[in-house]
Amino acid sequence: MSEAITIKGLRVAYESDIEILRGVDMLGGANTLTAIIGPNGAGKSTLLKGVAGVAPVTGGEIHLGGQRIEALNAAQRVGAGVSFVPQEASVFGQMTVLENLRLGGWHRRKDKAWLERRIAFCGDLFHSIKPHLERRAGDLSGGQQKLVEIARGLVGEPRLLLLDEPTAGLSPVMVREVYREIARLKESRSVTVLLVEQNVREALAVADHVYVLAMGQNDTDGPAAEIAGRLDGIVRNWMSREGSGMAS
Amino acid sequence: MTQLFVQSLLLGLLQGGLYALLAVGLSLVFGILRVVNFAHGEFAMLGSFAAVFVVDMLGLPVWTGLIAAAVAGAAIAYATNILVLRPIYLSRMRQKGEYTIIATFLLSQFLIAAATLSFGTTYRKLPGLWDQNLAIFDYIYLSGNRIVAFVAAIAMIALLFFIVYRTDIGRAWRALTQNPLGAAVVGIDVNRYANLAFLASGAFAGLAAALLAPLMFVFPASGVIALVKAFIVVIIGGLGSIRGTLFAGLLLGVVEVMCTVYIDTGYTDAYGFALMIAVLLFRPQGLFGRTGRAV
Amino acid sequence: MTKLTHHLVPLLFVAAGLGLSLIGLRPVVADLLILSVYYLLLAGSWNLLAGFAGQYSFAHIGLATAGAYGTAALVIAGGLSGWATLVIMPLAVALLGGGLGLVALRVRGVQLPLITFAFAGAFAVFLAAASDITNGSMGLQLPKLVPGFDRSLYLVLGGILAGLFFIVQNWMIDGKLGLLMQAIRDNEDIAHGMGVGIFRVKIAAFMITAAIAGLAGSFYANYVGVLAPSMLSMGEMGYVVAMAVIGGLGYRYGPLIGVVIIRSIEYFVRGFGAEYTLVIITGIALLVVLFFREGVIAYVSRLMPRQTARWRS
Repeated sequence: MSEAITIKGLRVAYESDIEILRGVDMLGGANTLTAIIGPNGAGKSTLLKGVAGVAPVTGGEIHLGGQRIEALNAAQRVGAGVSFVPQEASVFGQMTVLENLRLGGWHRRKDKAWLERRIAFCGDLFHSIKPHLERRAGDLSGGQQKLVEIARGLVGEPRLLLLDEPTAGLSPVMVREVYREIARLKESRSVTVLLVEQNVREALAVADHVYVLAMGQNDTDGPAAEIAGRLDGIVRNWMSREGSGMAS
Repeated sequence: MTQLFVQSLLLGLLQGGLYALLAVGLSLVFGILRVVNFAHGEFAMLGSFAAVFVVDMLGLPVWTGLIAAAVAGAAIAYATNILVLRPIYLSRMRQKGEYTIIATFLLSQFLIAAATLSFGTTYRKLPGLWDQNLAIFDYIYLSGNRIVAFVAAIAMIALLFFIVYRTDIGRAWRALTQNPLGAAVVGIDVNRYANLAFLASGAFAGLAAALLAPLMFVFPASGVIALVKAFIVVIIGGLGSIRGTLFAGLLLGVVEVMCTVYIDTGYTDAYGFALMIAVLLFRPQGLFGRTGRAV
Repeated sequence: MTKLTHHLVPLLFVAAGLGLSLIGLRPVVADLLILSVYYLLLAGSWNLLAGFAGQYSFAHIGLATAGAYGTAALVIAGGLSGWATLVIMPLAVALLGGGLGLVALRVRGVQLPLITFAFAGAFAVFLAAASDITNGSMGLQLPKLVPGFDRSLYLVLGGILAGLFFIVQNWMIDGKLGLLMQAIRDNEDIAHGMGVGIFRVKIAAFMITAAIAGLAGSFYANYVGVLAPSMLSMGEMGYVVAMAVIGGLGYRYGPLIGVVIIRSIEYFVRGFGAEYTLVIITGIALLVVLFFREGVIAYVSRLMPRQTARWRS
């Protein structure tokens, strides 16, 4: 079903020559959940954007299973099985929740039966949005919109799911809903997940493997349990860097 | 008195339908790419020249002129997107919006100069499809050409509404308009749908110009007047809103005709500006604009 | 370039105007130079507005035309001397520009180019239609600043006005207003967050550059002596934009370089006829925008890396 993701020396620069990501390596095993943590400005979100094809990749390789995807545009990567739920609002505010979900299956829209099944399934995932499927997505609360985005990201049955701080700004009830779903995805072992999360403990609890980024590069990585053991030292390291003004 | 009023109102609506057709592509493209296309008027101008070429030079029937205008407008719009705009909005430069404005503005000047060189500054006219004056209720007179043009314009706008709200292309356009990032993450290919939007925009502009040609003139600088009208329409209606464009086009037509009839005949093309300023004073984002922050 | 050189440039223009008036240039060259001052004032002030403040207005030729017709009104109907109009019209056009800015700058982003474009279009229609005032395409006749037609006087005046422009430009760019303008251009959100009064800065930039456009229009009217509605055309606006862009938008001496380049091309291809000139110039401008986006200055300074810092303002 799903594939491993291998990232080699990934570089991303938005404008001119200021590189946000300066050569990051990463391996996310097939059907595992890899958490990416690090201080502000480490390049966590930019890494996901580079993998999703919405940030300009200036160097390095991205392999999804046997396929090289770094040269594909964002639309082609969705076709290759990548689904990205960005941190920024990405919901279509003037459309209903159902229409939003329908667009989640855009790359297989010709397969009508499959699409209807997936819309029904994903519309059912979160209790907080289930009663609002016919409402305009822009009229929902910020947290509900985030759940719509996550549900929409699952409609296409991705092989690789990229979640960028899915619980930022959510109420505790919704955070629990999101993590219940993430845990379910992990248990089903049907999709490879890269999860960027500010809330480090939450992320460690659910992850198989953890990567730590700092200043656009790899800092350290290891199995979740091992990183959890070293966490105090890692965080102290960030603090000292931020204190010296190296990271911002 | 009533006769003059009703006649003016009808005439204004007929004219306004064409303004809406002229402007709707501008609004569509802006919604999708956040690009204001200053060469839009020249799509119209070159479209009307294509119609003149087919009808006057080749001697083909008038309706083929309409098709030629739409095809020429679409082709030039497509080429503009590929050659001029895409290199800018795919680049990593800053102030892309401003540079697209400068680039399309200079392109429009270049196209006007090139058209002047190729076709001369002679004012040309197209024969209409229905060169007859009709009397309605015995006292209202309308030219058949205006009615044909209006019906065609409304049919095309209805077609656009159908595309936008009932087809996958329209779904993609709406997604790109409402949230470009969201459209990217669900896998909508912005290049493909921007191309389609430009094709539609150029075809509509060319067709509008060819429908207007029997009523006005065809000359190289005609695109500037067309663009001023289109700008006034999209600003009144709210940039990016297709419903707003339709409404504002009809409103502009009625206001122009009414003011021409009741105030002074010489200033027809200037009344729209006054209307635009009046709207802006009350609603800076336009009548149907959702937010004031366009870019 | 150092600050000192920036302050020497105005003197250079005044001296050049005086010197050229003494040599006795051929009339065709003198005309070329005098009208180039008109374009320098327009392209230069447009660069301040677009290149430094990030506000892309298409009303500039319209404002200059307003300055020219205002001059004609004051001289013909008001009986004022042409010299007085050179002082009055910049102020009057600044007020007109301020009024336009109040409407057009309320919403940020693309509204400004559209509204100013519509303004220019509507104003052109008005001038053509109001033939009882403007005398239609026959044009309005104005007396010269002094009796007789002495080009050397206009060369001196042109030098002084060009110098004046660079003084105003130095004062704007090196002063607080210039910093605020560039902050807004680079990132309006951040500028807003830092407490910059965005609307006031934009209006100020709009009014100052409108005043320069009004001065240019008044100078044009007093020099050319015949005003026709064709003065206000989008083709003329295209010229001004092309000059600023070819030289380099957002560079202090970009418009100067652009005016020199375009006026030279115009001079050398004038034998082909006006249609060809226009195709050539708009074609070049389009190519520059597409392939040398930052203009000639940036391109040349990249060839000479060490001098980059000197040319950048």
